[in-house]
Amino acid sequence: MKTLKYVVVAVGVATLLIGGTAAASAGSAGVRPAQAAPSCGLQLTKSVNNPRPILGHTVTYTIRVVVKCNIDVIVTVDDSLPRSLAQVPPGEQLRWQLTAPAGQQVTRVFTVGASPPGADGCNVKITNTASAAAQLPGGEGAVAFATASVAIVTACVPSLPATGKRVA
Amino acid sequence: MPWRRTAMLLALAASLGACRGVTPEHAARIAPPSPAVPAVSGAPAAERHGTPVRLSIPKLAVDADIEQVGSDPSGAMGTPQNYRRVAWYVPGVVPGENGDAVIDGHLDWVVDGRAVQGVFWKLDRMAPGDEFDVATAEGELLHYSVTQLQLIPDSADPAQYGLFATDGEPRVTLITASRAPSSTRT
Repeated sequence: MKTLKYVVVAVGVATLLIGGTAAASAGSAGVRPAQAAPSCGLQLTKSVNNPRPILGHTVTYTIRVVVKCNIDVIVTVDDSLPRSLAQVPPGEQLRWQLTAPAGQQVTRVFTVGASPPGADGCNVKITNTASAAAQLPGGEGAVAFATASVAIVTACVPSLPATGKRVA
Repeated sequence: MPWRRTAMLLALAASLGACRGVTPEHAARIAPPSPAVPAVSGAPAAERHGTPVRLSIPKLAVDADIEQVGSDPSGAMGTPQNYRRVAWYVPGVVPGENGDAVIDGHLDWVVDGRAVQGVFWKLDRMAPGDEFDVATAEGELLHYSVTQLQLIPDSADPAQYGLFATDGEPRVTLITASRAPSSTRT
């Protein structure tokens, strides 16, 4: 049946186009018009309030995710801290989920407190990457994926200088 | 080389009031960054944007070159090689940026067995509201107003006093030894 074959092909095209640009297919006369191909836009940004923290001091990471898909998706955001960062306070959430209904733009902001405890010394660059993955509600594979990184460089605090008499 | 550590240090905190271009006559007096950066740990070799090169304190008739220092082998902030100069802690905050940029200078010095006054000999005469300028190699003139004078035990944790902080409003701390170790003046 020609009509059935067209529908099957349309579904196949939709699968291939997930995450890409939406492309509508024109329907033939007497044939149900194909829906716009599913597309999913996922934007992830990450920032830190102090890019040069003193060892042991707390920094706050802010993760912002913007989802705009023409299909319903569930987005999972992960922010796994590298070994050189300790979570402050410990045990807080580092994974979040949000739902984004089709056609709506959903924006969420998450914050994470962390501290470079000093195990690796000062003047060390620590890069922290967050990721976000959008999935269909049925739990099928990711239809969109994004990552965002931000780096800090740990700062040193010396002891106080000796500025008294010096024999020249 | 023998050192005598004083029991207290004098820290003068100042907030950034304004940033403006350097006048031609002032620019002529601005020395280029000292090429002889002491070999200290943590001191980046490359010149950074806004590198401070000159400190001017009109009230004290101070007009001094700014050296670049890091930490000495003991972990203390380095000091100027010369009692007429001051030194900026390079691994810390750059003057004009958020946080506490620290500049130290000698209180006194001994030359041929004779004591001489260092560049910060009269730093304790400064008072809140007094002003000074930091000129940068890039031609900026950062204008500061004194907010606080504080005596700090030399064994103290600088971070407890907000020294070397890397966040907060832009400020500069001028630091030297205290002439009155037993004083409780703040």
